[in-house]
Amino acid sequence: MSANPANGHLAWRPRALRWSYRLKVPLMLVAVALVSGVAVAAATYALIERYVETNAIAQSQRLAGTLANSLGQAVLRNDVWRAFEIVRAPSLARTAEAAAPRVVVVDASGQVFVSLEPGVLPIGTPRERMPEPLAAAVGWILAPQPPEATYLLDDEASASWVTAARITGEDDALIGGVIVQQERGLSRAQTGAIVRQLALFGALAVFAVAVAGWIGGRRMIRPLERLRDAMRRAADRDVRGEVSSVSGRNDEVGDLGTAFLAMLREIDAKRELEREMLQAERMASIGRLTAGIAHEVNNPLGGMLTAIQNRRMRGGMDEATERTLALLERGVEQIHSTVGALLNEARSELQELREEDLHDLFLLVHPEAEHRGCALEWRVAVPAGSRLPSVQVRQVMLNLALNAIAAAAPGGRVSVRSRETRSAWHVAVANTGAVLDPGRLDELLQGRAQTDGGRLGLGLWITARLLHTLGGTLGLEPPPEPFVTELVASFPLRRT
Amino acid sequence: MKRREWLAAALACAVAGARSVAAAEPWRFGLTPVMLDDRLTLLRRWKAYLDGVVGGDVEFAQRSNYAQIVDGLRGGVVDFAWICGYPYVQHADEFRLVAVPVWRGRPLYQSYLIGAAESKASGLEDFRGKVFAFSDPLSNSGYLYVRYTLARAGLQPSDFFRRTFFTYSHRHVVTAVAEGLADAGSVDGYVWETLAEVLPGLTRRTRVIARSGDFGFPPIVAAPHVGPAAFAAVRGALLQMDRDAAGKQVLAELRLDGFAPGSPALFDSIAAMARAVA
Repeated sequence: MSANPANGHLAWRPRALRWSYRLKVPLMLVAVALVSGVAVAAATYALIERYVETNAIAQSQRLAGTLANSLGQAVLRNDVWRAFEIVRAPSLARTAEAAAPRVVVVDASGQVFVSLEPGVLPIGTPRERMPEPLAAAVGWILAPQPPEATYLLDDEASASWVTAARITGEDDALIGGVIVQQERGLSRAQTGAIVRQLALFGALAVFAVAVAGWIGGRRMIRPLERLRDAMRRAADRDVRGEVSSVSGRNDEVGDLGTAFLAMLREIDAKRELEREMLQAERMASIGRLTAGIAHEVNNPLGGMLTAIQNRRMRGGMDEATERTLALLERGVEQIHSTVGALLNEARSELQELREEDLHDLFLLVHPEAEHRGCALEWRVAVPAGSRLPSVQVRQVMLNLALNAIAAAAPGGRVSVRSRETRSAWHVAVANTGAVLDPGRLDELLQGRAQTDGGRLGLGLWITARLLHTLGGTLGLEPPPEPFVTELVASFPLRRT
Repeated sequence: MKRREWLAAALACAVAGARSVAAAEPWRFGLTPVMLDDRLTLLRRWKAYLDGVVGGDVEFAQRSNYAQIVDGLRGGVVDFAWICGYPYVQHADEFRLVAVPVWRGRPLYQSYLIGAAESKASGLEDFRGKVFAFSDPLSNSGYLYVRYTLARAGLQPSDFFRRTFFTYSHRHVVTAVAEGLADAGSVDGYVWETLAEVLPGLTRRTRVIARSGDFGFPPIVAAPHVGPAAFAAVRGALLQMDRDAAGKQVLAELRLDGFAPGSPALFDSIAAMARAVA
């Protein structure tokens, strides 16, 4: 995974051009708040208009009734000015915002006695010259037996309603009537005031909700951002800790985090597998190389053994020559067996470990110990009544002993001891000087450790492989005083 | 001694005998809409002036029309009153002329024919068949003059106009015309001019179409029952007003120059009109 757009795969798009969720979610919440605010304001406005209209109709009816009660004397006595003052009084108290109603007082003949708009409906205007809704109201007033107690005409055409009340004397004789015409709905001034207030309070409410929405939206999106950042960095470092803070959530983002953690684990497992495969491949190459070398070595060794046997067959050798030939023969055979062991060919040529093999081993190791100025303690005995392959055992012991001598500094001590249990023969090789810790041993056994010269150290790896072939083990054990490291090779015993 | 105190002392002596029995009773001074009688602050100041000079308690009495004040004078309920020249000439034998206001240098005024501000009319003839507002049936300028003018042409208001009505106040005539309730009206010229200063927004919606000739200014009269001492006291107080600071302030608010003794002959022209329409 790479953050470099040039790589082409999984490249992050530039932030500025992206319509990020970081913006989308808060903006969506703000938009929802805005739309809700407008919807609520519209509904409120509709309700207010409906309420005001219902209220205004009742108010118009009350006004007509009140005026009718007050105007009796003025109309009866033909007192136009008094009637005008009565009719005008409510409109003088009215505020400028409210739409003024049209009030018309008619006499018993149906003519205008007085009106609030003398310019439009002057005194004496007959019913025929009145606008249709007013004329209809006059008809109701003049009707001998009005069908209803109150008059209400909802005039859709002129967007107004008309109410009327009769002015009667004490004997119920008709004196005249009052007609009140009111514009439907809110006046422009009222509408403007309500819309302004709705807009102001609505804007404040929407602003508050929008701010809350923005903050809430940012908070909602933050875990997703953390997960995204963790995914971005996953290529460069271990982000499990960062993802854990998200994966603990009990929501979809938490599920994403959990799934991502599982994916990280699978990727690690795959990487480990790849590493192991690479290692195995390398070992296989080494094996093939070793087999080639072994083949090349085995051919001349065969010639050498044949030459030694021919010399013996000719006879006539003194004892010293005989021992030398025997030594040469065992050495060449050891080389042959060792190389064969590497090729897994030794199995067919199994030679039982004998005291001589251990003695030869001492002869090989001792000069090296002396050369290094190292004291060698050698207490090794062949296990009784069991058969161990001499080539592999000698190779293992030789490797361990030479390693220990190398690890013990000049003037150091190396101890090689064997002990026998019921199921295994243990060879413990201890040394002073350099300490071998378990991690380093693991590297050495894996064949991953390098020497100071940069080459792979294969001695212990071969040792372990030989032991593994025999079903044995190699491990560190607490060393006895004064040693600092003790490696123990355990060979399983098959009792005969 | 200040002039006002001297005046008060002199008048008090003169009045003492006349009202010795009912000294505690207030003087009832009737007002009619010949002036702007709803200016209460002005009336309080005027009362304070009169109380101080006359040395008694003056109480202004306001009624809704001229007739009630005239009846009050005749019935002994009102002692003095500022009435129109028309009821004065009708009852010249009963009411005594106390003083006549002096307006713009003369004890005279006119009747104004007013219409809407945008009216194109040039005279009374243009309002034939229209709605006309009178002030009071006992007003010279607000009724008698128009009635007389029509009578000279052999007409009655009810014939000439489509509809007429009384507002019982010059001021309301101006309002009725301004609102369009009436197409025209006749008002006291002094009231219209005063309104033009006090409420210019109202008079601006009207226009003076025609002015009458001069008439005697609505006078202050005394009821028949008022004794000579009281008569003299009130008359003195009114005639002295333009020489007293408080009196001058009241006069200024009334838009008057002062009060003059006047003479019944000032109202001869009104009397002639009254006779003509009787």
